Amino acid sequence: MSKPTDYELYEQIRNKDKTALETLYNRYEKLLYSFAHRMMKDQQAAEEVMQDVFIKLWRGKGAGQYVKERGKFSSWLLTITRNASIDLIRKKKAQEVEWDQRDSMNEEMPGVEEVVTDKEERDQLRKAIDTLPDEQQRMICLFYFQGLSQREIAEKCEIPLGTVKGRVRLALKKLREHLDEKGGTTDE
Amino acid sequence: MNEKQCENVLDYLNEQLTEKEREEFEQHLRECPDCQAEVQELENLMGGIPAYMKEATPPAGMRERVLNDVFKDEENEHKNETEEKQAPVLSPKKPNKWKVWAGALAAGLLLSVGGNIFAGLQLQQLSSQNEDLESNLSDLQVALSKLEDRESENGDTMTPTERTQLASTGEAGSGVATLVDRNIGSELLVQVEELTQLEGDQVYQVWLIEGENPEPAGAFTTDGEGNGAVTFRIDEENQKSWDAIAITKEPKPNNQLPEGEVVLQAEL
Ligand SMILES: [Zn+2]
Repeated sequence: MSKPTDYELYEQIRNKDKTALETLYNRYEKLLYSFAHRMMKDQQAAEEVMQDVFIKLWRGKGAGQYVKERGKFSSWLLTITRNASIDLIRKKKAQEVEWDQRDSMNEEMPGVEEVVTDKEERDQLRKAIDTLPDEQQRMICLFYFQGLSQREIAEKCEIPLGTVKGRVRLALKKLREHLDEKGGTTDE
Repeated sequence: MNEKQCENVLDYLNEQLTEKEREEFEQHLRECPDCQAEVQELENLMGGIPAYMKEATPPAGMRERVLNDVFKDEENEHKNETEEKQAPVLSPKKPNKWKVWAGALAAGLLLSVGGNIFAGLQLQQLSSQNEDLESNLSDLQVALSKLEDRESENGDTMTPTERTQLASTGEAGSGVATLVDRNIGSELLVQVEELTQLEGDQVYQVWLIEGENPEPAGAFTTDGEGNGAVTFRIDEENQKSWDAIAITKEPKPNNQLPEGEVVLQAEL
């Protein structure tokens, strides 16, 4: 018997097949959890993200609905995990701000500076990002790690709205090239 | 074909579109090869990144906890739907003439309640004579997060700001009022416990009081143990400083002025 594809599992999940969800969970637990952990830097918060992602998937509504025109299922799953992480970071940040009795909640949140400069986390991704020009680092920070809208990125970087997409795409492309070049090797 | 839609690729990927915009874009995506190519390229580029992140080991028992919660969530969803239909709650959508409460709560007017204030989510700091209430606060958090879910669907955000305890005028009951700031206006949440049982058409009615003038701010009924909760939306354009909040037992729903006795209250 061949293993069901992700898409087959997804179709079964849409029909409320619990076993299919469990199978999909087993398949992606490690990858998604590692990702969420990297974003949240906290075991419990990472688990909350996992919960959120799988509840969305099970409900199958709104952003929890996979549209096959988006391409690979696994990439989509990572995108909703990324968005769920960013959401939770925002919520937690809002609570902290509240608790600190600061008067206004601004949009500051742990961005690439915190996510990537953490000394314990000098992984390949960090190294690859470091080699990019500042502007590209910034695009990755704002779009990928902070999940900002196109307009917010344009405003922060003071660039025309119409150029944001091209710059984000270029930055991601360069990042991938650096990552792929290094492959599995570490240069230490 | 539809250039306006083609500009939404990034915001689609970052879930920055409203529900309606997202649906429209997905419709467009099915028909626009350019957008398909762009979305897929970006998703592929991003999809490769996590492989280069440091691996983390899932905590013990996470699988069971996550999956249990997922399957439990489904039951809750159904349950909430029925509960919402039954509750004779004044709809937050009701066009309201009330004014906000503005910074009044935040500005320390709660101090008049005396030591019973707590901010943010520091729920543990509830005064000790209200330990029972404390256990119910998890429900309040659930209510808050439900609200939050509802709001985030609209691209709105909210933050719980202040809570105050409602004191009983007689012997029975206690409660908590919470003000939640939203992008537009605020939301008042009231949760009570151990109120006396209602009869017939009776409801518990929340009032926000300015000077001598009470204005209705949501109504609720209680369960077998006298517990109840209600949320009420306060629009931003309706600014007002409230002097007090009170809960009365009304003979019938939708009274515009109180007829019944006050059971819980707090000065603001
Ligand atoms: Zn298009």
